[in-house]
Amino acid sequence: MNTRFPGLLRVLNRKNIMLKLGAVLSLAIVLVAILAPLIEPYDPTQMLLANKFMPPSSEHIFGTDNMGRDIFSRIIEGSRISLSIALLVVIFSAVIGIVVGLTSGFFGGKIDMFFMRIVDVLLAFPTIIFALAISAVLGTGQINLIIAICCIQWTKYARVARGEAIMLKNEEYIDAARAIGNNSFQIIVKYFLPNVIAKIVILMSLDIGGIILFCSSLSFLGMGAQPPSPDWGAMISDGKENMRYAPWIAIFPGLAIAVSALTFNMLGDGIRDFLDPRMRESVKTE
Amino acid sequence: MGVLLQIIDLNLDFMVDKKRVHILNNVSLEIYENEVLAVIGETGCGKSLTGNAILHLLPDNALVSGSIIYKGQDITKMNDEEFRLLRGKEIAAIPQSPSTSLNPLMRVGNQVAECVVDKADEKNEKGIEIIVNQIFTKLRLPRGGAFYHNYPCELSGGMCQRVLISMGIITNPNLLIVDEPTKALDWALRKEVVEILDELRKESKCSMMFITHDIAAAKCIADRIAVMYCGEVVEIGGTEEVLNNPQHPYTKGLIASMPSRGFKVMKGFMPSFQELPTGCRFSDRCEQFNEICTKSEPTMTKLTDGQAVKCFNCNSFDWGEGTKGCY
Amino acid sequence: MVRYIFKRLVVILLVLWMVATTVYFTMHVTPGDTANAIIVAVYGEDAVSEQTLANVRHKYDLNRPVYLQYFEWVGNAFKGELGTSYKYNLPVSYMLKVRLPNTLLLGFTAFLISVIVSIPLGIISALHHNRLIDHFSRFYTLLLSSFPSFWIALLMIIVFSINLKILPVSGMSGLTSIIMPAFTLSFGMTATTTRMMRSSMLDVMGQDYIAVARSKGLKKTRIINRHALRNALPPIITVMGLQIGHILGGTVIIENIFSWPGIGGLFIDAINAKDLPMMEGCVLIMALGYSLINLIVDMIYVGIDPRIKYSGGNK
Repeated sequence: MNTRFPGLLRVLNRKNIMLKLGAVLSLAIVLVAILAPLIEPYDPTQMLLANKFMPPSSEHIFGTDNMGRDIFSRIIEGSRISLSIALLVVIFSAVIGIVVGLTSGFFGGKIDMFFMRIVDVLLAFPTIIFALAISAVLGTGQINLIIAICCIQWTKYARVARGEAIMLKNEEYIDAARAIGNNSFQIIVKYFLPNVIAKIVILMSLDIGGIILFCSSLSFLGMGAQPPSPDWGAMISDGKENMRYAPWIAIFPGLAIAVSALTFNMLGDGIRDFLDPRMRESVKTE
Repeated sequence: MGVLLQIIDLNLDFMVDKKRVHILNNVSLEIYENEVLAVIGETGCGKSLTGNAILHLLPDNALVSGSIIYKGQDITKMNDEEFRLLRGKEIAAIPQSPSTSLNPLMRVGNQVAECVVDKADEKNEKGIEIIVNQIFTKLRLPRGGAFYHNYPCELSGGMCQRVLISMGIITNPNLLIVDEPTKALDWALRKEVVEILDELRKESKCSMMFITHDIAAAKCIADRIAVMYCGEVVEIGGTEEVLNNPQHPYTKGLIASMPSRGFKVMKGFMPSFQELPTGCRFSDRCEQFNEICTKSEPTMTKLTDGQAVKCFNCNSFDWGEGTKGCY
Repeated sequence: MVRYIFKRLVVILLVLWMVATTVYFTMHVTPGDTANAIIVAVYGEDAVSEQTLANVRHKYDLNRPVYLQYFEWVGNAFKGELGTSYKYNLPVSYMLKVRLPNTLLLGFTAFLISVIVSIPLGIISALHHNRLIDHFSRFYTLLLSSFPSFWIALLMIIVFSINLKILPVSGMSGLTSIIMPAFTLSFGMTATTTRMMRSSMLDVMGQDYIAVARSKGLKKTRIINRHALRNALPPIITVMGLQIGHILGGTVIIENIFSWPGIGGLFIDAINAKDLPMMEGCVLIMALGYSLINLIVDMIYVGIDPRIKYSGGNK
């Protein structure tokens, strides 16, 4: 044990610039979202048509849009929307996925068949097509966007949870737990859940960057938050109309998406590399 | 008998997290022409690494010093391309673990033929296929010519092991490094593989470095035995001498721990290479432990008849009962 | 093998039927009247009145119970008739047939680009593990997988069309018009495939049989070509099959930005116009294409890897 612990620390110090950088920047982005009203120099929804299409300057560092709104303020405000959507999607789909995955893995048989057929159907076409179809049915708006993405995203978590549950089901201590009088529900909660949770959390951290991207694609296509709320994807969509003479309207929100997706991807990759058993093996001499 | 390969003070270090870990410590041994030298020791004692050092098959973070003289040339000083021409042709290897040492997506015959195709001695492929099939037959592999076209996944462990042996012998090497050929096999197959190797060596007059932890197999085939512990050669000598009259306490313990010799297991474990005891590397497990053992490192002491031991106490100790007699 | 393909085809049909049913019912049990939607789509908001609603209901047979309409629709779908588009007033299957080749052309070009970029990059990256080129390629793929494709598309338009004026902004006219859409579409797949290729190659290079090949005294090129690549590529084929799904999905965005006349653009138009038959048709054809591609990928995999054929037992 005493050799292993310093070994782990060394890995942390040596290789994980990515993890550290990702963690620090992610924290910064979260802070920006929380403190948004304090950072914004202007009201993000206030329209001043006299100021419209102003290029970046010291007054409006990212310029103004077609309604004369300050783009910098809107991007800061938009971080709240993006992060809250991504977080809610990840949490909801993880919860749904764990429930479905553990029940179908634990009980097997017809329940398992039923859920797995649903997963098959959902995986039968590209995710964005399905999300678009659902948002088309539900209508636009943030809540519907979250529902639409959750409808697909849960399958990922369900498959992981199901795999773990099937593996655990045959462990002897599960039989022992049953022998001392636990019912199925208690076994799932007391024995399966703690075992699954670590993997699910890693998956969640890996997912956030991708979901920020995915949300922005859908809201770019007009499925997300509606104007005047400053959604990054929608802002780019607005900017697209005016990109000939005011390219900054589209460029800066895109940069915001790229930076935040990059940050969270770095965090996710860093966490995965850190926990990858192959990397830890290199610490041992033989 | 001339010396074919001589290892002089081979030291091997690994760079792990920018720290040097000393593995092989002044390993010196020689292999004569047409002889089998068995290298025995526990898993992780450095015997396979010694073999890989000869073959230039060490990972990138390995630092080698000392010299390995093959036919008067120091092969540690050769670059990869110079050595590549020796490797496979003059110095060949039979690897351990048959299940993972064969390319799963290539027909076994081609994997054997490949050893000679690249050497360009015989250009025509049909001719090579015939040679490969002859070797397969010699090794008692079934199915005639059809065997050539099997994939490894279609073969048993014993068959795979024999395919690996074919790879080692097809080029008629001068030195064959056999790494744990009996490791993953059951008893019946072990005996067969050792017999095959013994036959081959008598036929083709090549030298062998036979790396194993199976003392019984070593006794059957080896002319001389080198015992390794913790990256050092602790005892070397003729098979009879080493097995019947072991001088190093570790060799003694190793022999006593064999099932046929009473199954007396040595106390303790081999230490990690990162926290070696000072002085003699065996000192913390040794039954003949003395003051001097932790103070300085013993040197190889020549005894009679080419036997040599790395121990301070090798002459002053009364060996007692149970270690003599036939094995 | 024939039995295997047949079995897979039956599964695909079943999945498609389930997709169709799900899509049909969710769309027809939506809040808001279908007839209302048609009028808005075809004639605009102002045209909605009792009279026009009755006419439309009559014209599209909307007075019958939903389940009857469903059976008729499924029956027709199997015959390849997917109803009439509300917006274009043309058969959906005709519209799809006209647009499909364009999407296939775009998707295939993007696929080709990402294969040409990602496979060599992944291999080089693995062979120079932890050297400069490896760090570069890892950073590059991280960027590609983090940047929104539609934003890169807009940047490209700003640079190449508006400022440099060397590539057309949109549409499908001549060879130059496919460059930007195909490149932006390929980025996502390039990122994932490069990563997978790299890790697969690293994995294989650490295997015992590579050390054995080296101990045979083979040339380095031969070890890489005959031993490492042959084992590292098959898993990548599966990855590529899944990535084609992302390309198909990506067409929705990219075709929209570049006004590329394909299925993806058609789908977005249909959603915006609440053109139900067209939406159903687009979803179905995407699902069909994706399933068929994955079937082909699995067949290639079986062809390459003797282990699968062996354990499957149906030769």
